[in-house]
Amino acid sequence: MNWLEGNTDYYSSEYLTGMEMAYPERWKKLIGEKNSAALIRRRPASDRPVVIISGGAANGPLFPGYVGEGLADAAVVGGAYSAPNAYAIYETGKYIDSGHGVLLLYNNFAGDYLNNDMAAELLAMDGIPVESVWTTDDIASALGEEKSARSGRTGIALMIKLAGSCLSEGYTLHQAAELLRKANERTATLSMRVDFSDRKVYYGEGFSGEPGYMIAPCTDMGSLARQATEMICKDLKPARGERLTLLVNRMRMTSYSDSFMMTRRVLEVLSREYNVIRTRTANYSNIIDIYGFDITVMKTDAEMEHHLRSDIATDSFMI
Amino acid sequence: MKHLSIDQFRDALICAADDIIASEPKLTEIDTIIGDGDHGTTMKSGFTALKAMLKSSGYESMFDLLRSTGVQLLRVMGGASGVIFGTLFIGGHEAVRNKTEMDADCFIDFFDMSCEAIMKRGKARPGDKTMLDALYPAIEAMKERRKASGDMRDIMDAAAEGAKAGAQSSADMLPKVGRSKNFRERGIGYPDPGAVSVSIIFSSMAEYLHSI
Repeated sequence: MNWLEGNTDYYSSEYLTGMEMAYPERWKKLIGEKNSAALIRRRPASDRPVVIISGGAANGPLFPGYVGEGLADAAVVGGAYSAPNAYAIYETGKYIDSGHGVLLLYNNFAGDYLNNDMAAELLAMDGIPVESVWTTDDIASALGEEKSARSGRTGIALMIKLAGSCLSEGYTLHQAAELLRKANERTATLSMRVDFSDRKVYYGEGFSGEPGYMIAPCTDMGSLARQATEMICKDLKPARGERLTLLVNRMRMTSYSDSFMMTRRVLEVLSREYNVIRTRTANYSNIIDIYGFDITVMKTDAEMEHHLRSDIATDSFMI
Repeated sequence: MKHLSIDQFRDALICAADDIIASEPKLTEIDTIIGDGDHGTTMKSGFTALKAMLKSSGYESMFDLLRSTGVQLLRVMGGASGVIFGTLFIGGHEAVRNKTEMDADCFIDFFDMSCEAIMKRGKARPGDKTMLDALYPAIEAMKERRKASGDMRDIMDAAAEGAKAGAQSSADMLPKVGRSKNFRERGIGYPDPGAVSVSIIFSSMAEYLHSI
């Protein structure tokens, strides 16, 4: 771990302060404790349920970069690659709830589940309505176990957008949670890391370098796109001609131009059999010092497409 | 002794906090062998803050006392152990709603519900080499003793004995959940530090009841 990723207990608190200082009209830092900090919208919604996202720090725009109009109302961030404290999630929920309830949205990692589940209980004890949705789009995690044991990956970026849109259009807390659970069932993500020293591509490695499920020689981008797309579609099983939304995540060491090369190749493969109705490419989440991509595919129906249709711009990406 | 008052329960928790704080070197030693070594210091910091809170506040109900206890551990300890030990004092809150004293049935119900909540939240069962291996047998022992006695001292003694035996038996278990599963083989022969902590908590509470 280098200093850029923070080796202090207050790293997340300090970078959230920086975010508020840079965009004071957009963000306000709410909590800054040891290994837990929270960022909220400068003007939180007061007429509807709110969505709180949470997870470890140092994953690029995930999670605080998703706080804003049309996306999340608050993000609670832990230490580098570790979940935030349940108490910080609870305090954030209590602070931004306007009486319509709180939706907790997070990736299905053990620490995130434990802390959000605890926060949900504390909020409920205070009489605040709560729904929890955890995403499980990472098809290479929990191999050999049930789908529900999988962890989440970049698919949560689309889930945050669905949540932000449907809540601003008047969905109840329960309706929003149902939409997100449906979307989660229809989303798959596969990561690939290219190692130029051994000319190999590592598919599906975990966030902390847990071994993936396939290592292949790195030949050309077309082959990578084909292999990844095959693995995703084998798992997601879209019907021929089915409508898909594609998200290509560019990891930190990947160039802007390469990410569009990859997007083009994936689209070429998918378009042979399916109907890709929306594609976006950007840096949506990060892992330290990696050249690679996350490919996220969502089988979208009319309801989901309605909520994904308009572009939302943040400080660093468009989704 | 049929009932514990709020103040007595609070004083029992203060005794438990003192013993956890004093046991830090022992807990650290075990966790250094079978885990990542931070259980002792995390417990010490949580129970030090808990003791300070309990000594400086008054409580109007059992619910208030226990919820505050759980929340304090949760916020100070953080991480998985903060959630689990927080749940130990929060998960049974339905059993103590509107109670201003604790009898044997209420006490057993409270920890029974907490234990359920921990299993569900932590996705663990007795036998997985976790704190549940002390908590679950403690509750079973209390239920067994309850058939013959409703005296709080008897019930607490049963909890202490059950937890102690359970913590000892965890030494032979292989870890299945949590970070200690990364140290599977190394852990054999050593009890789970979380189970030892639960055993300490029940033993000190029992000792306190005999001292009053």
